[in-house]
Amino acid sequence: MTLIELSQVSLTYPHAAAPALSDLTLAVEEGATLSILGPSGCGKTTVLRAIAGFERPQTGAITIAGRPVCDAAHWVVPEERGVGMVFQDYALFPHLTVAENVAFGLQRLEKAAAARTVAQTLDLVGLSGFEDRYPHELSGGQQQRVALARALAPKPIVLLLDEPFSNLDPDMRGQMREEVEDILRLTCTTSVLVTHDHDEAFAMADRVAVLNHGRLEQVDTPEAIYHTPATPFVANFVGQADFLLGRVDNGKLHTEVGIFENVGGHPAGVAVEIMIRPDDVHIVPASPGGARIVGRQFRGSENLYTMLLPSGQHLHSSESSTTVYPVGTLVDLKIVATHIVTFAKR
Amino acid sequence: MTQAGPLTLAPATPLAPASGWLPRIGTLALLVGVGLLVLPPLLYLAAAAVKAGELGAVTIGSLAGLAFTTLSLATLATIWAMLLALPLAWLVIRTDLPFRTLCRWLAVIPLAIPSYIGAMSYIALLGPVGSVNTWLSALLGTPQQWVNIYGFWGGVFVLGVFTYPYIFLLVSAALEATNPAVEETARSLGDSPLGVFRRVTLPMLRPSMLAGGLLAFLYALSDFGSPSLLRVQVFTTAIYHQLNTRFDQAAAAMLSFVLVLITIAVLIGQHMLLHRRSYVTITGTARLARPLHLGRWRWPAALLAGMVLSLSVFIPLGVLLAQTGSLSHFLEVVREQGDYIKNSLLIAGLAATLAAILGLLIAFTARHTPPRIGALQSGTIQIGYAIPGTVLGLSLILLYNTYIPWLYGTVGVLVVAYLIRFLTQSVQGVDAALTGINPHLEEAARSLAASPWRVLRRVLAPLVRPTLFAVWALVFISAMKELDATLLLRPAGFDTLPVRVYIHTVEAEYARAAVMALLLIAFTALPWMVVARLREKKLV
Repeated sequence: MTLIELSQVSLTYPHAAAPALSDLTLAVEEGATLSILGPSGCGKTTVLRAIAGFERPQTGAITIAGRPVCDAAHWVVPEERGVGMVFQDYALFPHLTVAENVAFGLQRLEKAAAARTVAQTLDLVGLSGFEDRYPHELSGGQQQRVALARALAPKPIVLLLDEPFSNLDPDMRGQMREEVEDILRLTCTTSVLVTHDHDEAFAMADRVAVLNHGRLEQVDTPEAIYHTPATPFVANFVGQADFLLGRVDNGKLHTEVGIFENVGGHPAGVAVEIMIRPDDVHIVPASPGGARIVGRQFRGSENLYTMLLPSGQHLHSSESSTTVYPVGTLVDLKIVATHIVTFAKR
Repeated sequence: MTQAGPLTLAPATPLAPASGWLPRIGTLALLVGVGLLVLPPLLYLAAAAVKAGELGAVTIGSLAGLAFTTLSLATLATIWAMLLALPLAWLVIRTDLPFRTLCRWLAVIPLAIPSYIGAMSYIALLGPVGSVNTWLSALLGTPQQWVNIYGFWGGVFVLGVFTYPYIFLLVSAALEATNPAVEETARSLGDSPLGVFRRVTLPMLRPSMLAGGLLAFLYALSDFGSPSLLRVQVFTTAIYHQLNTRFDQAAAAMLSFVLVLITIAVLIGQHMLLHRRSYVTITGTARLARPLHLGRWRWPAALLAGMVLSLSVFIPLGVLLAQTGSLSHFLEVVREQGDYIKNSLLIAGLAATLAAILGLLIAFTARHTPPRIGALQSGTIQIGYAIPGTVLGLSLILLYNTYIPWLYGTVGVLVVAYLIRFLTQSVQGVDAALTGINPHLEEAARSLAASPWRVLRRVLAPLVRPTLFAVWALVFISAMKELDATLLLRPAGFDTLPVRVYIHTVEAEYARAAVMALLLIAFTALPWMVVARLREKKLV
């Protein structure tokens, strides 16, 4: 069942030249996690704010659990939408204790029931015993948990998370990501997660929506986004990618590094770009090889090599860092592409 | 994990029907309320003035004469204030003047001394029956009037001496904020220290000089207390005279109307001048300039600074203390006038409390109304601040006497006057504090189903509490010092400290006036110190 639905939503901020969102159509399934991924300024936070009711789109419609909350005829204010929000900076109330923060959204519950819910939720996020602390007495990770508990306590229809892990230390980030994932699954919470980090989006989301300049580029499973990106932008944004020129001939795609299936069904004679990821390229040293290594970046478990092809195009390859090929080595290339992705020449 | 089973998807509470974020009625009520508070007195004044114009109660000649005196007084007082403020600010900020920190602290004290108290102390010293004349007559054996502070030049002197801190504060802040690298660059390009001051420093200070000068000018333009005590005929004193001696409300309205027009013209000029120029920019690393070594000019400079501070702080306070005489006299006057002290504290406290509450409500609603309506509201409140106290007093008399007689002649009308005059201090203070609060806090509260009232009460009000204390203190200080409107509006027998200072000075009872003035300064200094303390802790 679709829980959140945005259809043809467009939003331009006052005095802004370009729209923040244009013609955006998105759906979130009940119990699922949708991640909105994109570079900064792509409008991803605006999507969250439109769902929460902090921004009002000029056109388009939004429904939450079947109820129209924003269209030409309806406007529901944030406090009546039943959405929970976790802010990037947590936005904890600095003058309230942890328990008071979590209880803030429970004012319509009886005192005893509210106290019970606070205790349950704090237990859920592993902060039992911290009830009387103030936010400034907590570590970043603990503050994050309070923000999560506060948003979850009123049992929102949907939980909106705006770059929730970006303020944490790198090692804390991975741990919190797993914990939050567990909590969301345990509570069957539908959630929308905004991030600019594709690893985070892939790890946490059932579906990923990639946004660029306020437009939806692609929405799909993490695997499909990575392996079969719909646009060159998506291909580039979710990982390293090279685009080699090719030409369709006899129903096959001919490139400098080999012949591939013409999966895009491009007509013969047109210039085509084929996307190749570094993990699909393997290199073997050879004496009169076709390519030469012109750069090497050490990345811990692997080395990323930059090769210069005879035509002057560059191609990258990631190889295990157990063997090192020095810059200048002549190599043969072996392309093992599990998914062939092609675009018409830009 | 004690959570049994998944949390249900249904929200904990039934969703209320959709409605506007801020209850429209509340916003509208505040808007109309503020409008009703400020605008009708002014409109009624304009109407009365137009009627008076037809009657020809005030001749063009007398009007032109008054305008000339008023504007000359304000202009000369501003120039005098500028002469006092500029060297002091430069010496304190940029040189190794002895006791520069102490000087800087002392230089703003005149702000705590209302100009009518300044006038009172100089009258007690240099007036026809003041101390100097008494001493000289006794010393030389010939009873004669040696000095006389009364008149136009006395007015210029007193107004300049007690308004220079406005210029001093802004100019010293600008001097501190200017990047010394700019001046050092000029030196490295071959300019002499004096040339640098003339060609670089002075032009950079011009905006702050202008801003401070306009504040001093507006003060001088609208002041009633000191010109009245020093017997200078300006608009405010003429209005008071028409109203209280000749009982000619129409003439008073006519004069007030002209004064308001002049004030508005000055305000428009101020707005245009200050918005065109940008203030001195503070660069990332605001390093302080190395103080200039005065060398053998160090002590002459200290003498100059000492003279400015003597005129504005030591002499007035010394006169007040000398006139008060003994502790027993002080206590006797306090006992005798206890009721007036209570009146002042009561009414200033009431006005400050209402202003703080209203300020919070207005600043909060203004943030949730369309910008144009918010600007209208803050503009209306600022008009109230710009009206000279005497004019405001007259407008309220005209309006309330006609339409709300049950409020006229009560303490209520005084509270209304104080709110009109000082509400902007509270609104601006609270608005600045609200701007400093992370907007996500309010959004978080709203996403947690909090009503606007709950957001204000549970989140914003506790967070701006130090500011609420500060604006309370500021309005309290302003209301405690208010003389011009109070003199016209107070209920019979309901005198306040400023009114007593004024009356005792007029009656040449300087000893009594001094006690009341000292009390007033003490009562305003206390909350001021609280505010300063909060500012130090960056809470305001």
